[in-house]
Amino acid sequence: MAQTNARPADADDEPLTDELLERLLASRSPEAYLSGTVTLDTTLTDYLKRLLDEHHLTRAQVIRASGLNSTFCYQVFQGTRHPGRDNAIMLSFGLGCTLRETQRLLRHAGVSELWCKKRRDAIIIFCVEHGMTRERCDDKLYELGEETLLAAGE
Amino acid sequence: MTPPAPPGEAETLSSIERDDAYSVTRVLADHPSGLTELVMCGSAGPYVRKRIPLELANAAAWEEVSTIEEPRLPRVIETYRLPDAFVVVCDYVPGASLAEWVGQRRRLTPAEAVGILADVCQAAGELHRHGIVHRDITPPNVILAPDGAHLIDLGIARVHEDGARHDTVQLGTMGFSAPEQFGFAQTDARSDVYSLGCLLAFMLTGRHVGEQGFERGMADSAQVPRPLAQVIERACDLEPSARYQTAESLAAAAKEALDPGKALPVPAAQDRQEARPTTRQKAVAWAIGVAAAAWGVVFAVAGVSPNNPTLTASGVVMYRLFATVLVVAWCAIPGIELCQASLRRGRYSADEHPWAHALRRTAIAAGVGLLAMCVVVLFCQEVLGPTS
Repeated sequence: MAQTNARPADADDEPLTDELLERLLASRSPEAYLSGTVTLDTTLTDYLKRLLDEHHLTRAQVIRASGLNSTFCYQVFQGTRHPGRDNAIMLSFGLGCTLRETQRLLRHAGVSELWCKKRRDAIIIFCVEHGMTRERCDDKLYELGEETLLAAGE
Repeated sequence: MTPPAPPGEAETLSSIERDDAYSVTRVLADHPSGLTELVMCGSAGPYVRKRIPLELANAAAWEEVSTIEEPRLPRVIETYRLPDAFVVVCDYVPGASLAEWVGQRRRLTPAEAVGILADVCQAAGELHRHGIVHRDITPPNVILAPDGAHLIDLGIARVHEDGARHDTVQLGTMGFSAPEQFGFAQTDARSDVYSLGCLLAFMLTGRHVGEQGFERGMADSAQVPRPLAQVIERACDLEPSARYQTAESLAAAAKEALDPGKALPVPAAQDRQEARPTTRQKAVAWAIGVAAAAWGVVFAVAGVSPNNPTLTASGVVMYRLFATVLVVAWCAIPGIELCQASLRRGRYSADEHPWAHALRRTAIAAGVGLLAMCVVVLFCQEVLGPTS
């Protein structure tokens, strides 16, 4: 079952999502799976805090890098407001996330992940993977005729 | 008190930066009135960081507090505004709180209690001199440091606003908050005096007001010597003008009561006379009232003489009746006011003396009486006059 080129775990002691999926599909009922597994009920706020710690960033640095409104960003970190998809992507740029972390952040935000089959998403994936800033990503999106992350007029 | 407005974009960013510069060591308290944390700023500290919801925060009070230099009050390091909170960072005072200390020791000796009270009164007095009322002088907010007691936690303090009918934000601790703090009138220094009295009672009996065993403790003269019991009773009078008017006078009275040479504290009557009109003041007010009445009588009588051809006999009688009634009322009003002034005692703000209040009422009564007299005279001359 274990793959030789298995992807590294997301965190030191978290079971791999793939393994858990296998276990869930093999269970007789949801209750059987749930009773034996500790699910992660991390909220977006918790995950953001974790990312801040792991990347050694302050909120102010993230706000500047993402281009988001500071009050809005503060409230997202507090958990009193919820970001939309584009704002969540901007936040992941601000946090300097890898593609994996970005997808995870989007999942926690309750929005759809980046899908390489969609033209706009593909451009964003490329920019994230190459460690570009949010501004450079927006430049690329604009060049290729797609809607930018930072909506015009903001 | 208007709550501070949420900060703009630039200020928010700078506030977030300042906020992130602190690292939290542990949470000290988490209430609806605010989150209090012990923080470090790099290697500097420890500090106490209070996060107060914007609608409860009193920026004016905190600004005033940051100018105070009193070792027994928290020194404010900085304040900044976040979109949902007003944040205050101040010095951390290490030491046990009075609540913990009394909890461990069951109760304190009168000497210890009065010593701690004197320190807290010193801190409270300084606040009052800056026009700030603490409003939450309770055992958890008194810290016993090596150099004596400190008063902390100005979370619900307010700046005294002349003319305000009642506090706009009502918060407090049962058993320590003066009755006016629950919305009936504006709180002022004397509300803190009430809390200080309750604090003294707590230290001596080991129990809060209203707790089981408190009354028994207060009645026991071994725990609470009679002179101190009298001090507490006066400080905790329901009527603000009957209490000690300043924290300093409370501390002085408590120290006097502790002195074994004196059987009773300084007689309350001297201080109380600030609230009652003196004999001289009463005489002045009465003289004005009587003079106004005499003038009224003269006016009434002179206005009507039997030789006045415009009025009939019945008209004269009616006129005199009206005039007498008015004059009696005119005399009675200042008299009633003065009696009520000495009885009422407390319906005035801290700055106004009752006799000034009574004089004001007398002047209004005199003015109204004069106007009424003119109306009556005109009425009689117009309506009753021509008939013959």
